Amino acid sequence: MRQHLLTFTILFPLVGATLIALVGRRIDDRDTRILALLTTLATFGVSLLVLRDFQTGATGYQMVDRASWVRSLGLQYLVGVDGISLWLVLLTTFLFPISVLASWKIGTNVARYMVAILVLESAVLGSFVALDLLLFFLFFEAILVPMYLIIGGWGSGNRVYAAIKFFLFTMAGSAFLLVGILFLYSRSGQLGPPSFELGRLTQVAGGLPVPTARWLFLAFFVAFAVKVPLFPLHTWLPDAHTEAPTAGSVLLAGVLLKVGTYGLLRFNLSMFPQASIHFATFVSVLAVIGIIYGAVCALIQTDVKRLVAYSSVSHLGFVVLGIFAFTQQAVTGGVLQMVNHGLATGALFLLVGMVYERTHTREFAEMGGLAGVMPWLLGAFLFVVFASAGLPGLSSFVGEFLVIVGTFAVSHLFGALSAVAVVLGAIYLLWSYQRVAYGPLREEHRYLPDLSGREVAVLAPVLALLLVFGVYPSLLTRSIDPATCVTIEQVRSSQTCADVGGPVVPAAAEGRQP
Amino acid sequence: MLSGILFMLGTVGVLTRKNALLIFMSVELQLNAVNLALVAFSSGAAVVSHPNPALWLIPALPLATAAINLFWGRRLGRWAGWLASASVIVSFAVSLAVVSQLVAKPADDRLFLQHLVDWISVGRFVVGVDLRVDGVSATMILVITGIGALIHVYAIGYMAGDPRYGRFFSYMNLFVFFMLMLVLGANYLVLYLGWEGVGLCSYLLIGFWSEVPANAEAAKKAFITTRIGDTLMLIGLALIVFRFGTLDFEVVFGTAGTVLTKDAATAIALLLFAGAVGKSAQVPLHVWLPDAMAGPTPVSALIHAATMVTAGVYLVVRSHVLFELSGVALTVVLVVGVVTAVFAATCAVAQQDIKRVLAYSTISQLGFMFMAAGMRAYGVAMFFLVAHAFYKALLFLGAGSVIHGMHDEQDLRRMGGLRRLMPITFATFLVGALAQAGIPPLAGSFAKDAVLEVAQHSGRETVYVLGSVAAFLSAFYLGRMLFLTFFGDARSDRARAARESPPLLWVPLVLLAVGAATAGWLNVTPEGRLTGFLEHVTGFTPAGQGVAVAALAAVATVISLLALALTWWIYGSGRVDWIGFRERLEPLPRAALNGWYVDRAYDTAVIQPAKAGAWVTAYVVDARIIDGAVNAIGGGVKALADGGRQLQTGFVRSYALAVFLGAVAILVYVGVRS
Repeated sequence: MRQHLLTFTILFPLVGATLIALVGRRIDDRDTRILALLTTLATFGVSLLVLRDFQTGATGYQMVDRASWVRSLGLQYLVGVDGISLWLVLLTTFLFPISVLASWKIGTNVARYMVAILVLESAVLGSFVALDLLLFFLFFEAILVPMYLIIGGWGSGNRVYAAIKFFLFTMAGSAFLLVGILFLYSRSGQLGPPSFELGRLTQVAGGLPVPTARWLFLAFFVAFAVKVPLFPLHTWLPDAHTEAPTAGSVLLAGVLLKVGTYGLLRFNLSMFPQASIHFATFVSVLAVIGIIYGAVCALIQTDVKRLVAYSSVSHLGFVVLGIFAFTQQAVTGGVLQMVNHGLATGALFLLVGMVYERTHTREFAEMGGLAGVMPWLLGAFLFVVFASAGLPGLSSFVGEFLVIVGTFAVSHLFGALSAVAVVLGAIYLLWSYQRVAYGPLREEHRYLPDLSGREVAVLAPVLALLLVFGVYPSLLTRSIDPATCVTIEQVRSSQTCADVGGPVVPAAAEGRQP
Repeated sequence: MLSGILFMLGTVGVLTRKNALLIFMSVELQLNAVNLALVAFSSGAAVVSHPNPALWLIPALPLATAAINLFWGRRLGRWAGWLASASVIVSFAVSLAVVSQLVAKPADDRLFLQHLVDWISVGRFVVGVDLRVDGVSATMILVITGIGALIHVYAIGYMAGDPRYGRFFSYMNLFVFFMLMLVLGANYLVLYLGWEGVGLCSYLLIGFWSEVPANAEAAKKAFITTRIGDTLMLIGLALIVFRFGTLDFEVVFGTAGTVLTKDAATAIALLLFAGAVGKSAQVPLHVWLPDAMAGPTPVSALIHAATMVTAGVYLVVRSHVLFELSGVALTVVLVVGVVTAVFAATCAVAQQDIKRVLAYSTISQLGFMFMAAGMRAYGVAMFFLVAHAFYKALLFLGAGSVIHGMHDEQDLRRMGGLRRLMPITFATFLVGALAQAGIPPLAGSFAKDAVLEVAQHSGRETVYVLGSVAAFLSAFYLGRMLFLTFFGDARSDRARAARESPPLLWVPLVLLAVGAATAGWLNVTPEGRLTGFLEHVTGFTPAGQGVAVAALAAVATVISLLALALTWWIYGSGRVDWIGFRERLEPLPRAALNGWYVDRAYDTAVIQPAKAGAWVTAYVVDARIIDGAVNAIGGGVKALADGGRQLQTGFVRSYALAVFLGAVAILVYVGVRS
């Protein structure tokens, strides 16, 4: 049982999807929604078991589940978690029931919609736990189809353009990834039976000539950079976010983008450590540009969803910057930022969706004065705005701070430049809040209802976590830390994780370590 | 286990009781539970040399009541204000107890250090929620909770009838919590938590009456302007971590001399000071404070006069080791302080709104504090801070009483003659004004004289002269405000109909007036000197002795009296047509009224270009160039594929199929070959 937990996590949504696909026509929409909700909740429950059984502080992959598939080709099913993927799995299983609940008002083709959502969940979970590159690639590609359908089928306005743009961008990126994986696979035969296993391919990559490794690094990098998205490959994101339905945006920002940063951390860094160091400055420059560029673009947006999309470009730049600083604090901060951005931006999209459901507009110019009408909704909005702006005590601060501090140790310039986003973030977030909440109220908005019970149920868990992770980030870091340490050791090919600064390690801090 | 039960019991208590006292007791019960839990969990953790188990209560009480008022404020009704005030009062009592324990210790061991929990722990970088009480933080917590309590009580009356009464007190309590964390933090990150937290509360409270768009605008301006400083400060923290590997005060200050080069110390000190400039509204980041007067008057008194804006002074005093290592940084502090003190005083002279006079006055007075700190007289800076907290809180609350009595009239031109209608307000306001103007033996004279004396004593003649100019202007704008408000004839119907405020408003005024009158003695009696009490943190504060000091004080007093006499002649005697006088001087008063157009300059030089830049980035670079390139590539591909149209169906699913088939083909090929 225990060793199959991860497999159960992946399978549960698929089973639910199959069920809905089979009986969806015979039951009414409400039952379909409940079925989907129960499926995602059950998946979340299973992932909590994963958390319970996870050995905090241990390094290496845990709960590894392996099954042979096509033995002669070395195809296999191989999954496992470490401290990094653990939290991404939990973030995923946490956000899906919330997204289902947030999609309650979707009324067309409910069964198909829920099937797409559930398949998406399986694919995302699979990408986070796959330890075999072919398996990873299959999951990675499988994400595209349901997301494409969700945007294209249940989106707004210009949804077809957005969906195709999303699809082609990512597809173009993954073509490189596939080539890279197959190249490594073709070389794996020299070390025994051919295999796609991460460990084996890492060995293979380690034996490659330097230029080849660099080309392969770039092949992987492009695929993940599109997904992140890293400047200048980001232009699909504002369109996709704007046209996607609420749950689509939540999931896109909350978990899908993390597949990109996760891929960089898991595959690029550990498989091509020297190439990672070689390209670190290049990647960091792109990340810093993205941080500032995304924030600047966000400043001037008139569409609230586009604004949040650009803020994602900025926030994910932080993640990439942290990962490519190769210090313990920065990388752990980057992983924290993945989780926290998922929660904070997820919450922002949820709230934007709730406002949209009431006012039927995404344009700031057509809102205003809503704080007086819906105090609780706008109160929650303000909470999330400050969480997103990196207020200490709320979750995003810890990740951002660690990335800045950890990067600063490597490059003062990048560290300081990335801090500029702290000011810009405050400007675009507070300005947008002001335009939504204050100012003159439109006559037709005078009697809008405040949060419903369902919406409270959607928001409360996210908001609670934003606070908990801000006050007590050790909850995450104590399992993330050992995992990032392993990665950093691989990159720096040394036996110690690189800590930030200080001529002396302070005795006080030493003594406090358990 | 026990703590869990106690906590539950406390929660049930809060939820079920309607009576504020019972709620308060329930909260106590909860806090006790938390205390037990903390003690139980922390026993195995850090060994801290100077524990004090009561310390955490000081910030925890206001935090607890903030949470209660946030969610149940509406149900509590009137009680919300009393609950909020009670928690600050109890917090004050606990602070008193802690400080008396501190004072009882031998002078070289006056320190409490309490580790609560680890906040961030990554690799070997560990930051704990550690609280620290020494002379400086002891002084600060007494000011925050003591004056804070009076302002809370005042607000019960002032905010009565507001539809979001409970919410108001929730934010006020939250502010007190963050402010206490700011000064109690034993490392820079806890300080930064408080620092940003008070900024949040300032934002919430300035914009409290957000129905007026200008208030919301002012709130945003305050938060963003200060955040510019905060961000530089954050970079400073990163630099500290880079050099020291920790943010603990003990380690940083203890090893700074060996770790830091002069340049590194300068960089860190200046970055920290940038934070102080933002928070304490010093030139060039002062522009937010006058607008911040949009908040309810108790907010202005507590946050924008007595406590939050002094956080910058606290930061410099706290980090004085780093500033001294640099030297240059101290000069910068001094210059900024002097410039601000004079500049803001010139603006205050021309203001028409009673609260804006006080706002510019606060900026100017904060300049005095930085002046003192810049001359290494940190004890004097702290003494000034305490004295200022009393008389400025008094002046703001007095102004609030006037505004309340005149039904929300704030314009000095429409006041006049209020001294007969509002005698108590007048008497207390007079004490506050004279205290700040520097008439002995009221608090301000000692504080201001101490600064000027240090300048004179250390041979900084320019500082002395400019400080005296600022002091003259300060007495002038106070006299002007005093005469325009309380003397002469009533200049509007509202002024004629004004009434004295209820006791809930004037009792705090009287108590503050007593403080403003006597706080100066804190630094006079030889055994009780505040600067002496602070010496274990700040180092020795140089001070002159005897006749020279008396002579300086006499000169300063004469200057103040001259200024007051001048204002009496212009505004009080009725012999000068001051309105015509002002018109003849135009456009000078208009420029001063508008803060010498600094705001307008920022708008033209920074904000508008930035907006244009952002517009170009988003709509030209992003939409046309980058996305344009993408679409061009797409178009190119499409054109290429036009030949092979049979393959190019345009359906994404067929592309997907193609990719999938291709992948399978390659797989098979590779598989067969191996």
